[in-house]
Amino acid sequence: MIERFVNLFWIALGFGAAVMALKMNLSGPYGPDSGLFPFLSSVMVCLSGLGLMFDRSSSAANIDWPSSEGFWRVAGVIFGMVALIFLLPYVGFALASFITMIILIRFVERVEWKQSILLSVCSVLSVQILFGYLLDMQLPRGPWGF
Amino acid sequence: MDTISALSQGFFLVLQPQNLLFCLIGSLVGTLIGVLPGIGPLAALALLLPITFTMTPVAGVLMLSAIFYGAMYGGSTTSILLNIPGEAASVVTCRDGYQMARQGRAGAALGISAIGSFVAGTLSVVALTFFAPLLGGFALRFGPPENFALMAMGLVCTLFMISGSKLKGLIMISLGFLLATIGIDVVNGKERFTFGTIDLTGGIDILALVIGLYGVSEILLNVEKIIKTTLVDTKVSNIFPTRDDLRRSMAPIMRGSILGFLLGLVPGGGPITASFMSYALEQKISRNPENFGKGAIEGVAGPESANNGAVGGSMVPVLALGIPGTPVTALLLGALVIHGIQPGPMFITQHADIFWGVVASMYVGNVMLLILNLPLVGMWVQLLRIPYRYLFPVVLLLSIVGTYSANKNIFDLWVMLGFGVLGWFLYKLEYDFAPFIIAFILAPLMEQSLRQSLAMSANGIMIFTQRPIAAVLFTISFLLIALIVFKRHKNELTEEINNANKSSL
Repeated sequence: MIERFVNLFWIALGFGAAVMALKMNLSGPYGPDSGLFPFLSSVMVCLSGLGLMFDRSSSAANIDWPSSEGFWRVAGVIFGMVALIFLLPYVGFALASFITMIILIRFVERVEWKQSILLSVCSVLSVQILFGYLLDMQLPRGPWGF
Repeated sequence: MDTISALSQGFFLVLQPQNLLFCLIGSLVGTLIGVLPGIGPLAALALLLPITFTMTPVAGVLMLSAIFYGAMYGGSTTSILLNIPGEAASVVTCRDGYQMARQGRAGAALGISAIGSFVAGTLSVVALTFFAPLLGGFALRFGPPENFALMAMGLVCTLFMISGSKLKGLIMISLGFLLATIGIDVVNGKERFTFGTIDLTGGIDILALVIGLYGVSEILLNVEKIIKTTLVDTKVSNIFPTRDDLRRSMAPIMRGSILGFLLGLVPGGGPITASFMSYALEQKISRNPENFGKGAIEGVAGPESANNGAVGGSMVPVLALGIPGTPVTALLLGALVIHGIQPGPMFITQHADIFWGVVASMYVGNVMLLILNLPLVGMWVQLLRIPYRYLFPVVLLLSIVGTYSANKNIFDLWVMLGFGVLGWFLYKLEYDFAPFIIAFILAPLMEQSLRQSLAMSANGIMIFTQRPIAAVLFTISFLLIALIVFKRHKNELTEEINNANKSSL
């Protein structure tokens, strides 16, 4: 069932992109224009999606969805990353990463508090020192300068 | 300049202390990546690519290549000791390598794997040394129609080689093309699929995409299950194989090297296919096929040599023609572009220093890896004791740093996360991302070649039939497509017959 929705999505995506590509013009006064390649790609997406709709042998044999606990663990990791990306411009790399590490180690992996804090501090510090200082990569800084 | 003197200049470049250091770092990181399950060579390359921005192109490409072949060496360690492949090309090594470890012969399995990898790696580099310039020389005759036909053939080959649904592979190729067109059209400055946002005008960043699809999605797939690391009880001792082991392994190593190199040349082939085909070949020609899966040393020697041989082979089309056959070589191609080097048939003549530097570094790297792998096996084994629950948050942090540092743009992080979740979901539905990455990287070159071909043609697409080389390449592509359809039809017929037989019973 879910595969049918995905295939429908491919068809809709291909169709929508093809319409947009047509508006970019397929050819101009000097030959092929900006819309040609996206149009061809979109048509391929649309036709392949149609093919998948009618081709039963292409369906995944056994979709290995995680258990409910597995789902929560995946959701926890995604939530941790969303929090990190959202906080990054406001609080800087060090604090945002520390919060994410705590979410991941304490709440997703259920490691005890002391160990979680220690591990989070150590990993954030090592990444910050290695990339931020030794390799001189500019990581986002918070109002307190790190 | 003849091959030998060019190669000696490459060695001169590689043996400079700074380049030698980067080669060593790449080999070490590659082995580490190969050893640790849950992070593959492609994600590692993408994570470390921004670090190379501050290096010279030679040092950067040299280090990235070392990570690639280093991962092939390291991947066997977890396969043999834990029955968990460190990377996909070592999946087949689990079968006999782990059985050998259970029989107390882990050392011999690790030893023969390192020796096989060294022999195959070296032989494939020798072949690369002489074959790539020949191919590059021939490709100098190519114009836009030939380039387009060649890239199209590369993608059809990739489609032919992937396991699973070819239609899903075709969707991935088309999506790769479509996503690559997002941003400003370099020819006339028109915006395409940007929806008025500034963030999309520069297009989708390749690093965000690769780290998302191969780094974040891999983590999501792993955290679903609680991974418990259990090392095999046997102590790893006596890593030098016996004389009998060497005698039995010599022929599989040579066959694996040749097969690996040849499969590496074919787009879509690469180390994974090479290792599986080598195992199948060894089992087929063995006098005792029943021993396979029970600890046959030939089942370790052949595939481990084949996956390393394929590394050298897969570097030929990317360096000589600018056509990547695997996602890893596609990313290497992307790295060259980021460093301001245009890959393609002119690459070897225009950037002889980089080409010969990379080739020479592969000789040096193979020696380094042999030295690293045999005596340091104990250290790699200790690293395997790090629980995955401590490892993945650090990998996530590295993914964030790797993606952000390329453009210093928070939007890229959302793209990375989006592709991570999409990758996790599509993996469940058995989609293969290799054609997607290759198509995404080739798309700008393909579009340029297509537009140039049509602009110079008086008869539209007929130009592809009027140019002999392009026509031959397209004919091969059509034959491969016909073969895909024929194979599919044959499989359907067989299935129908089997179903009919079952229902009649």
